[in-house]
Amino acid sequence: MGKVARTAEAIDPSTRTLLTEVDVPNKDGRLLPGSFGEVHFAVGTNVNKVTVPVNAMLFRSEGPQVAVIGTDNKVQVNTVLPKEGSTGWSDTWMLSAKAAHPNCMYKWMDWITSPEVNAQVAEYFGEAPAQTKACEHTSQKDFCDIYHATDAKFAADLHYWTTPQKHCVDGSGNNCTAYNEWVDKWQQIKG
Amino acid sequence: MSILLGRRISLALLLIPPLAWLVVAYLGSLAVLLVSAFWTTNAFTGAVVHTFTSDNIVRVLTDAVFRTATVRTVSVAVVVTVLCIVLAVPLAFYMAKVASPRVRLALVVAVTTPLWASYLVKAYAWRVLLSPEGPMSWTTGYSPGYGLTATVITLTYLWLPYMVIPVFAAFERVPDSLVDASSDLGASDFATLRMVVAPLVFPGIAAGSIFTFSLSLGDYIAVTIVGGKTQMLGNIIYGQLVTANNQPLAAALSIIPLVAIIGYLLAMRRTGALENV
Repeated sequence: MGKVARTAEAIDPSTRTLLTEVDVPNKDGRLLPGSFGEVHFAVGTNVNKVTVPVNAMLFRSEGPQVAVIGTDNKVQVNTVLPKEGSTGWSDTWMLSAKAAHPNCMYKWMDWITSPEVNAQVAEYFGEAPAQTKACEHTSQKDFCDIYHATDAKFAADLHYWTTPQKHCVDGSGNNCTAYNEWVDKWQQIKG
Repeated sequence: MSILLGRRISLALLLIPPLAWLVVAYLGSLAVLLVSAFWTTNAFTGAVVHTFTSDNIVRVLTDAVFRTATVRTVSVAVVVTVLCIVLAVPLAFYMAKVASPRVRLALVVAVTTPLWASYLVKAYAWRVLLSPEGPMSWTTGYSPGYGLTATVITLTYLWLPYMVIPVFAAFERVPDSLVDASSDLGASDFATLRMVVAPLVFPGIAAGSIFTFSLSLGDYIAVTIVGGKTQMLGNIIYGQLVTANNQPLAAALSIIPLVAIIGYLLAMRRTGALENV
C-alpha cells in the first residue's frame, strides 16, 4: 500500500494522463530500480454524482447546464461538468508598461474589480465573478452557487486555456503539440 | 546642348519618384517576402528568427494539403475565367455591335455599377441568395449550398465586369467595314467571326482573363463567406500568417500564386495577346 506523494496537478491533454509520484514502502527490497508495475488507485467514491443522458444537457454560452427542480419546487438551471472536466478561462486586466495615464488605469481596475461592479459584470456576461465578495452583491441571490464561484472542487476540474507550446505546460517534457501545429492539423482536416 | 541637358534632368526628376516607388515599395516588398520564406519562427513567442532554413520551401512543395489547395485554387481561377469569358463575349458583342446607343449606355451602366458596391456586400448578398433556406431554394427548390460551386458562382459574379469591359472595348475597336468586307468577299458569318473578329477581340479577352485569373487566385474572403469549409491558397496563407503566426511559412506559400500568375502571364505573352493591348 503506497501513498500519493505529489502529482503534476494538471492532466496532459495529449495523453490524458496525470503524472503522479507514489511513495511505496519497500522494506523487504522486492521493488528493484527501473522495474515496471501495475498500480491501482483507490479513489474516493463518496462524491455525490448523478449520470444524465446527453439529451438532457443544455449547451449554452455559460457552459454545459442541466435543469433541476430545486428544494422550493422551482426549476433551476445548474452549471454542470462532464466527468472529463471542462475548459475555462479567466478574464484579466493588464496595464501597459508605457501607459500614458497609469493612475487612471489603476483607478479603473479598482473600480471594475470592486465587489459591486464585478457582480454586475458577472451577471451581465453569465460567468462566475472573480471576486468572491461579489457574491453578496448579485441581484440573483444564488448566482454564485449556480456558477460554482466559490467551489474549489469544481474549479479543479476546469482546464484553463493556455497557448499550446512545444514545452509542455504541465512540465511533462518538451514534446507537446505547439499552437502552429494545431493550425496545420486543422488545415489538413479541412483538406 | 544645355537645353538637351535641362530636358534630361527634368525627365529624370519626373521619372525618379515612380521608379523609386516601383523598386523600393513594390519589388522591395516582394524581395523581403522571398527572403523571409527562408527564415523561421520562435515556437513560443512567434517572433521571426533570422536563421536560414529551406524547411518552409520543402514543406510547401511536399505537404499534401498544400498541393490539394493549389490544384483547387488554380482550377477555381481557370473555371471562373472560362465562365466570365462565356458570359462576357456575347454580352460585349451585343453591347458594341447590336444595341442602340441608349441600350448600350444602359448596359455599360448596369455592368459597371456593381463595381461601386463594396466587395463584402456583394459576397454577403450571394451568401443570402445561395443559403439552403434562401431565395434560390424557395424559387427553384435547389441551392448548391456553401462550397466550391458557390465560390465559383460568387467569384464569377464579382469579376465579370473586369472581363466585360476590355472585351467590349475590343469589339468596339473592330471596324464595321472589316466585317462588311469579309462578307463581301464571300465569307460566311461564322468564318467572319472566326477569321476577322476573333483575332481582333482576343487581346481584350486575354486582358480580361488576367484580371479574373489573378483576382480569383488571390481571393480568400468570398470563399470564407460562401465556401463553407472550402480552403483556397489565400485561406491557408492567412491561417499561417494570422492564426499560426508563422510568417515565414506564409511567405513560402505565397510564392505559389506568384509563380502561377507569372506562368499565366508568360503563357498569354506566347499567344501574342499582350503585344497590342
